[in-house]
Amino acid sequence: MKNRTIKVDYLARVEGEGALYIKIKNGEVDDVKLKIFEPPRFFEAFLRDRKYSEAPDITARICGICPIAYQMSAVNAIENAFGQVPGGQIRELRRLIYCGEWIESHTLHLYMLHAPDFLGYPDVVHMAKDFPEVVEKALKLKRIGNDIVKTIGGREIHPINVKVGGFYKVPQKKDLKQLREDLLWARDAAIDTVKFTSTLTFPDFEQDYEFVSLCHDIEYPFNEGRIKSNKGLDISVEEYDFNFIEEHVEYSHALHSRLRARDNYFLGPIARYNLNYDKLSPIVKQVASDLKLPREINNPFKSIIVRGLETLYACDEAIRIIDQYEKPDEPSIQINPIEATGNGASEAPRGMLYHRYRINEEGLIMDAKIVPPTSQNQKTIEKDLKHFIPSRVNLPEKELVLQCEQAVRNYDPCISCATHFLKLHVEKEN
Amino acid sequence: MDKNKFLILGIGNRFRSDDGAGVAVAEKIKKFEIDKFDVKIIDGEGTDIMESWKGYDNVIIIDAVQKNGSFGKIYEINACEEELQSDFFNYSSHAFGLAEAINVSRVINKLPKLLIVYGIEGQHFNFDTKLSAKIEKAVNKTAALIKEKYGK
Repeated sequence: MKNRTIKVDYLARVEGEGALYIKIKNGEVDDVKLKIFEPPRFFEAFLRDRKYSEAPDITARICGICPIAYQMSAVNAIENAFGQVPGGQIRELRRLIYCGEWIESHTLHLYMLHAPDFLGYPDVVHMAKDFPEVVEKALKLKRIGNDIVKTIGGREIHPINVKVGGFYKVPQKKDLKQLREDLLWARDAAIDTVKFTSTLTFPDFEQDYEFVSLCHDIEYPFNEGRIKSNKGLDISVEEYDFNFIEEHVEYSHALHSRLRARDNYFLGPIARYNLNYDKLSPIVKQVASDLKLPREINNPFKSIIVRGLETLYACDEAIRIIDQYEKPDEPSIQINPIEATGNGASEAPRGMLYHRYRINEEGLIMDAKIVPPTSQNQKTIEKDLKHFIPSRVNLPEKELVLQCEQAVRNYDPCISCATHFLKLHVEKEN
Repeated sequence: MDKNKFLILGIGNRFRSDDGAGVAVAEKIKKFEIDKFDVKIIDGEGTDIMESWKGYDNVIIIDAVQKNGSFGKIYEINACEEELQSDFFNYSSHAFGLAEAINVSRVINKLPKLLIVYGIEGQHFNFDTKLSAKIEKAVNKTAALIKEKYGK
């Protein structure tokens, strides 16, 4: 069958609602559209005329899975505007809460949404019948990520303790004691996770990607760094708008991003790993080395291994932060708003999340721009499918649909963020 | 944990109109101040649901559902006896939501002894803090029903 159309009306096991449309003409892929049809959510408009201090709580509502990323990019951008950036233990607590989000988000995606693809199960419920211990361990690991977010952020979903300048309240050293105990277990569970993922079978699919990530001089990136790529991009966060452009496509409610100088790019765990391998902690490098994982990965299906490595890093980094923690005298620095524009970025589990705010002399937000990672990865997802399908074009439709969905899930797309669930439509034309 | 305790778990997003039906029922039940009821409200992410019911033998969950157009219809499911269809709760943005949490828990033997799920069929799931009139009535009816059946 040389011509056909494949439609997935609701793509399963992704956060949010979207559809996939693939048109095959004379055996060639004629068109691929990742359709994000969830209505636009207008968060950038909601933010206008609101006080700068409301941005972390408003933007946290964009996503129940990665609210910390939204809070962090918001505070980074607003503090950048005012030229006031907290350091010391406040900075460390921000890294700690981000560790919690990476652990919970990566574990959820890795075990509940992506692993069933590799093991041949339609979902985690069927997988749990054969791997009950694995699923139980995954649930406990995710729980520990949630506990970090709850301890530092006040609650697990849409935390309420993050503010511009720091936190409303900071924990006592003793408040972190139980977390540390749990994290020792979690670190071992994360090592088992990486070993588990490394035994999976991966499609032979490597592409020449432009990987983009924040890169910090001495740390694996969460909140700070320059924006770099493997193809020469090296800019400050303030230069984001000069180097990246968002474009409307008529079939998606999420804007497509591309590099002005080139084209699509790739954000997320593999990008961070490839560009920041040296900054991983010794235990992560040791596990990667023991499993003979290359220092550069170009197969997006292997993102599941890198999510495991980043979960391990987040557990290890959280232990380091807790061990060195001393309660700061003040939970936040005094903020003095000025009329200014600020840019901020941070590394959400799915990749770099950019915020920009223009604030007036009264501290009101005049204008906001938010570019989520899924929106930035859309073009790369579509390009992957264009290259992935041709050698599989004669597969039975059900199998082809499954493999295409798996390829989309490599990116852990959070469609809710990008504007919800994927629908697949493959069309073959004679 | 007292074996007579019930966890009343309201699930939903009060900012998405009728998606807040489960939350509204939980809030009404909380006002009844029934000692044997512990009331919690969460947004519906699966692992949070599983964590919430830890230690409870008796769990009542209330959530909004999207079905055939009988707005305000109340569904009662004994989740210990029947499998939940994930598309019954298909308005959820969570890839691992209520149905997955219940079905995984069944497989790994982590279901509470009693687990009843009430689904209220919603009409509007857009941005609003108000419930539709039919759903408001169904919320009151469900809260009264739970009080009557399990609150004594």
